[in-house]
Amino acid sequence: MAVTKVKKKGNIALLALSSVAMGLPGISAKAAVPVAEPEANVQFGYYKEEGDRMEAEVYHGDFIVPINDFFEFSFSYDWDTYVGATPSYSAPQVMTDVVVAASGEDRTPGLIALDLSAAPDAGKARLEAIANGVVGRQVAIAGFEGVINRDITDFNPITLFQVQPRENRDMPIFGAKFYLGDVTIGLSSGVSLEPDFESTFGSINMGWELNNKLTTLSAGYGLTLNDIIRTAGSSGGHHGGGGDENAEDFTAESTFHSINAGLSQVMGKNTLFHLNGSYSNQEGYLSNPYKLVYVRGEITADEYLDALIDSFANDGKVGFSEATSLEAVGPDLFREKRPDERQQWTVSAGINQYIPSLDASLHFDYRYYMDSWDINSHTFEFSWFQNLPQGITVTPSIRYYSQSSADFFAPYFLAPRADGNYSSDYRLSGFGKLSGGISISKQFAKGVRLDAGIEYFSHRGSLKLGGNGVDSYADIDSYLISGSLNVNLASLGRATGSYSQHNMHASHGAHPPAGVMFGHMLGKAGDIMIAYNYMYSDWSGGIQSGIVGNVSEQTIISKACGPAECTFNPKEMIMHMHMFNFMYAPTDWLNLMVMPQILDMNMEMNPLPNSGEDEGGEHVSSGLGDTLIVALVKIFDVDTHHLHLGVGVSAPTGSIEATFDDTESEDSDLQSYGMQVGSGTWDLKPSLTYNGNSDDWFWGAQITGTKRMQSKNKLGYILGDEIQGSLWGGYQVQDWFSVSVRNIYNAQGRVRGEFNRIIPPTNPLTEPQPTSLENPSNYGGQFWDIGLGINFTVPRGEFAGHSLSFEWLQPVIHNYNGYQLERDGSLSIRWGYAF
Amino acid sequence: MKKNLNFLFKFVCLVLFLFFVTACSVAPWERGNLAKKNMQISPNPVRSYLRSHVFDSKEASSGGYGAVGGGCGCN
Amino acid sequence: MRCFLLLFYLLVIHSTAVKAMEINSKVVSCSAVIETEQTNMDLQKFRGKVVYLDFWATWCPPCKKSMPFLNALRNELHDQGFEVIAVNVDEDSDDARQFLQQYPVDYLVAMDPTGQCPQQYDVKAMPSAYFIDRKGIIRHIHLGFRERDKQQIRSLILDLLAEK
Repeated sequence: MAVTKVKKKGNIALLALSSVAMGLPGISAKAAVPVAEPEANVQFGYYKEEGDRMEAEVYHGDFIVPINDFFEFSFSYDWDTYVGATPSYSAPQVMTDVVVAASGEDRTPGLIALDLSAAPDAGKARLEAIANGVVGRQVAIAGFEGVINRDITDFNPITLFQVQPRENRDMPIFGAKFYLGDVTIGLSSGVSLEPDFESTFGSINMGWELNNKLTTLSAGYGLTLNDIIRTAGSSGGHHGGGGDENAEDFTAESTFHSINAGLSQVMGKNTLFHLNGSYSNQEGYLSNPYKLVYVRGEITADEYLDALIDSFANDGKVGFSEATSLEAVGPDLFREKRPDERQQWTVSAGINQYIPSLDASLHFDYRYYMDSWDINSHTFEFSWFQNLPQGITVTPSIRYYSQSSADFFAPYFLAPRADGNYSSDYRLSGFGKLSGGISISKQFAKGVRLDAGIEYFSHRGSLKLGGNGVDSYADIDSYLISGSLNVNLASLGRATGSYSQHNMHASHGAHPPAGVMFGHMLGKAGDIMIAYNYMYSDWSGGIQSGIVGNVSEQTIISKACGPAECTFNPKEMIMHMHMFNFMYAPTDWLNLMVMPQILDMNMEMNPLPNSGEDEGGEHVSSGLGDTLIVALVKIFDVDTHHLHLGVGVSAPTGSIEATFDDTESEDSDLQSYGMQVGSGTWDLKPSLTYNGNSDDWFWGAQITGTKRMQSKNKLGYILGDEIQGSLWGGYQVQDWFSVSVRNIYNAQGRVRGEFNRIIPPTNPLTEPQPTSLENPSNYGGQFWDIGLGINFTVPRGEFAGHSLSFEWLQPVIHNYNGYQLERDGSLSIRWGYAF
Repeated sequence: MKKNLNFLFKFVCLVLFLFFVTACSVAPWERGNLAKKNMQISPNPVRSYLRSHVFDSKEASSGGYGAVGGGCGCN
Repeated sequence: MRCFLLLFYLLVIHSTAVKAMEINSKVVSCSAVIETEQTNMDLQKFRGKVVYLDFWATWCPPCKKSMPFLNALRNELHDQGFEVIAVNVDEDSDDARQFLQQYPVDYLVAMDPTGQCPQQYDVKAMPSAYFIDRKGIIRHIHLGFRERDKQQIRSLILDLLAEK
């Protein structure tokens, strides 16, 4: 399988598009099941295709709150990010040079790119001669045909990819449910926002329990309105000569209506059966504006010639509107076109069976799907939910999917189709897909559940039921990892609230200041804490070196970038760090802690006088950072003195491949070390914390370190090791309010090694210039800060167990390695809930 | 297409018939097993949603899993 | 079409209700064990008291939701001759024991893992409560539990307590 890459910088945008549209919740009208108790969920999902294909991170959070017995409110938010290469089109091997030549950077249509582009003036003269009847038209046409109608001996398609810069999708959804006796009515509405696809959706669903609640009937309706916006490539817009029709802005709309009806039936005390049918009607623009098709013969050599001749009267602009209704983007290359209507039907049935002797449930589900594009599919799913002691459930599952292809699908087309519809999107091809997965869930006593799962997918043309799948060129493997936390807020309330008079809630001692990590242990076995830490940091005080303070621009230019001269320097950097902390005490002397984090950074650059530029530009990077896994061990714990040891490991889950063009492609320029959200190495994080308290006073000390356990990450460098000492004291003003002062010393080494992927800038206008940030010696140093903190806790009542702390860190003395932006300080906010 | 619709219709009838014939009565106090989390139609809706998001983006089919019911049947 | 007629017919057959437990009938005994007192539940022994006979299970959210309320009501009116007896119908009584250890109640709990009691009382919903007056006669049956039911349950109990 040969794969050629077409790389396009600029605004190529979302390929996952058609995709996302289909997955909207407005479409599958989900009916209502009473939740009865308030609950909240957070989930992280990571999807990756083998090779350098699509990669997606999906963050989800939701909560459901029953307001009273009849009304329940819910809200969910999804934030996805996509990046990677996706197939753009396929063509026969022998045609790839022709197609690629004219569909590269500027995608100038027509045959200019072929024999005429080599010498435009000569080509123009020749065309004029043909137009005036001086030179034989037949000769020119024969020449064209020799290029566009080459003999094909190898029919294997070659797939061409486009690279998509990182893009985000936001999707808030509101929902409400009304319980009216045996009838439940659910409403939901939301939007899904991407730069080039906006969708608004709503649904109404009804559930009706009858037959002593053994039977449930449900019905629903959903409406989705989509706006598709394709914007012209902005940055790569310098193409010589002919106009570019393809770069025009484009907007379109589509509307989806869907209805469904379901029925579930209790068949016995261990058996539940369910059945569901749905119909949906899609209308409007249903194509993918970024997918292309190769169609031979849609425009004949004759028509190409006429179009080129006509272009003289049209200021060099080549148009094919007389020859085809498709949008031409290159020789025999067009934007795909799907019918503007689609009807979809599904029927699904499933059975859930509980097996008492094994304490296991098995689910078997089948779905049949068909649509007016001649696609039909079968989906089989089988899951085995095995309950194990201690609230653990292990669920292996297997899924098989097989679909037939759309009637207008082909890898490429060697003749025009009568209906004018074409697509080479492999999602419309005939294929089969087998996947297997396993998930593990642990239910903690206090209404907290953790879930983790992995699923591996194998997409194969040959796995299609009954054979006849598309050739192996579209085969791909992928996997999905997910982890989630479910909290039943009512159980938490019960744990701290009162069932009878014998229930008492233990109070937790004073918390260390907000900026202290691993500073607090849970009191007794079975305790759980969830916490969210936010840290805002700002660097903007000019370039500093050592302990001397500001340095001159001349020094920066000549010294900060090593042997090269600096042409830009950093002006301001802002970092937002979100840390999610889940802590559990399996015994009273041991706490286990998992802490994923999300980083969001922004760097503004300043031009130096030698750059000749007025503006410096701005870079951003964001995403999942490294994940901490820590065990805290109690060493001693007497009345006023508490000492605990922490052994932590930081897993390199954060990316170190943030690039300036956001594509994560290997030939893109990397952003600087400090702008990478991960370290790229496994790090050891030991800590030792002492807490003391007497009456209303509390105090503490902590020493923490970071030791990189590898000598190099995959990009050839490691961040410096770190050590931090901290000493604090505070006073409990009220039982709900305390203040603290802290003094922090921090030392960090410089970056060791350097990027093994540096690409020297060739174009000074579009590519990054040397700055002090690219020099590994300009990292780390010694810093002394003072922290001022306030802390609120709720000692009793309905919200007992919550705490909210703030701490501002003010830099006092520093000694920077090399040349660095001055630290302005940072703000830490921590919300924690222990129960 | 017509053949498909016909198949669909027969399938639905067969399934409906089967379970109404076999369905037996389960007393309200006997629904402890049905109330278990893993006996719900979708035991982990958040994960199911993530999976269907992936499937819908990579496959041509969508929709079709909307039935509700089961559970403890409590009042 | 015939398919649907048949369906309709079956739907009607299957949804016909069975006979209801009469109000104003005398309480009947059934075998359930009150573990805290190591005795069989004998409702005759409560003659002269107003009894709220509740059928509940740990898998039933509204049942659990009613427990703090019932406990408070029982403690408030216990001196006036009010008692709550909660028959647990979990198939595995250990589920109930664990639950009660975590969320203890002051009223009496009887275990009936076989489902004999609810059968005898023809329990229609979970939870179901039978209001028994001082003479041992079932005066009222309450199905389900919702927030708004609290007021009604309380006033019914007060009425029964007022009868001598």
